[in-house]
Amino acid sequence: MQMNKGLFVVIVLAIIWIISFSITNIIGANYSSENKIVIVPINGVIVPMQGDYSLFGEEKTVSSDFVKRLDGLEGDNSVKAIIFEINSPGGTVVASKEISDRVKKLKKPNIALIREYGASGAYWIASASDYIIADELSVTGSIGVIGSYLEFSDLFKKYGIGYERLVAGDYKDAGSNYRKLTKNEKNLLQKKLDIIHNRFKQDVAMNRNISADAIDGIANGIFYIGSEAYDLGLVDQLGSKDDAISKAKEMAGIKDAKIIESKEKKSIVDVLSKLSNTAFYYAGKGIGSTFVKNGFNIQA
Amino acid sequence: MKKIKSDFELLMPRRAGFWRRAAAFIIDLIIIYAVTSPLTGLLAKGIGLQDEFSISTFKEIFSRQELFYGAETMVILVAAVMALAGLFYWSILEYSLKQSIGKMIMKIAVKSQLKELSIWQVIARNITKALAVTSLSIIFLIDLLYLLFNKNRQRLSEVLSKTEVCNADE
Repeated sequence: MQMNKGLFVVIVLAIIWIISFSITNIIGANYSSENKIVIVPINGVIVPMQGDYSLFGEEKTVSSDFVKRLDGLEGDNSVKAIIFEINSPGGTVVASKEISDRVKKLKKPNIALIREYGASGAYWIASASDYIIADELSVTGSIGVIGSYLEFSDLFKKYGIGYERLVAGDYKDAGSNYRKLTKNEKNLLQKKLDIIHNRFKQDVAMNRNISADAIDGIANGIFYIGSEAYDLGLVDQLGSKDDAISKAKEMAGIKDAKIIESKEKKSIVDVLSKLSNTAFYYAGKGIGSTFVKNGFNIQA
Repeated sequence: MKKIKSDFELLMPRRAGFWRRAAAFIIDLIIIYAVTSPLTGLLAKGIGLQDEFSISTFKEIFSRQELFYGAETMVILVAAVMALAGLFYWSILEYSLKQSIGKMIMKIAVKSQLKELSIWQVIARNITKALAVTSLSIIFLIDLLYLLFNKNRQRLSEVLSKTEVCNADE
């Protein structure tokens, strides 16, 4: 009787295995050979962390998540090419550079498609891709660094609010909202912006094969309309998403591919948890630190 | 002072405890994953993983959800077949032997609160478990929570199917 019980169990398991093996062959035959071109969006401000997520706020591209996503696509054999669909005014220096560095290391053919705008840090990322396509009326370029901020000292003076300066280290509060910069401090902060700007320029010049002299003339912070950017060599082609897909197929050497619009899936649990995180974050942050946030903040 | 068991308690097998049942469920899950390994391998390949299915595959799947847009039909198909395989495994074994492999090892068995255990009773009691094979569904969690707060140690689907799980070694 015990033997029969064992035999029965083995038969049941064998039936399940045979069914799953057969279904695998049927589904797998249709699926495994499919080539994919993945369109990855770069929307809104480029930031390094998820912390500033806002349910009703503007869209953001988080560099750490983005790099992870590219790692995944790089390891996926069925993905033959990647298109970055850019609608971003730029973002923080480090976040933009992180994504740009990762894009540069991609081994798969990749194309930057600048649609509405791909300026500053977003252009830094685009320049790292293999090929840039921009709409002729898009806004791009803006190769510069900004560190401007609001300074309230005169307003505070008007209302009798004083700033008691207590620092160890002369420059510790350079860039504070509550007092004007000294000439020395202004020079110092300007030098730092120049260091970042030079790095930005060098990277773009190297990525786009533009000479050092030429980049100095282009990278003065001004933005360019797509057609102007094409004339200056900042983009390779003027065109649309369809052009980008055709070019991606050509670069990957494939005729047909499934086009996947990659987007981050958000469940209701994600949204609620992020919403509560944001609420707690701002509750803890307080009014004082909100002022500090308006201080010296470098963006590309 | 040692409590003397009543005739009723001596005659009726005790309902199986939570941890014993949980261990049996985990053993069964491992067996189901093993026998459906061709499917899980396909799932891994379908979302573009270079290696075959491994313990980290599910983590990979959830960290690369964007690829579901290309593979969602296949993922849904595979998930459905795996859930059906789980339902078949539990239902056939429990109907025929009153025990799955996990239950045999943990020495527990399914009993009907009616006269005989019917195939419809075992299917009804195993639907939520089958859904849990591919994802931790909310229905299974409700089913499980009911067991934790129910003095008869029955899942909601067991109450509805008029079945219970008892110790087989008494």
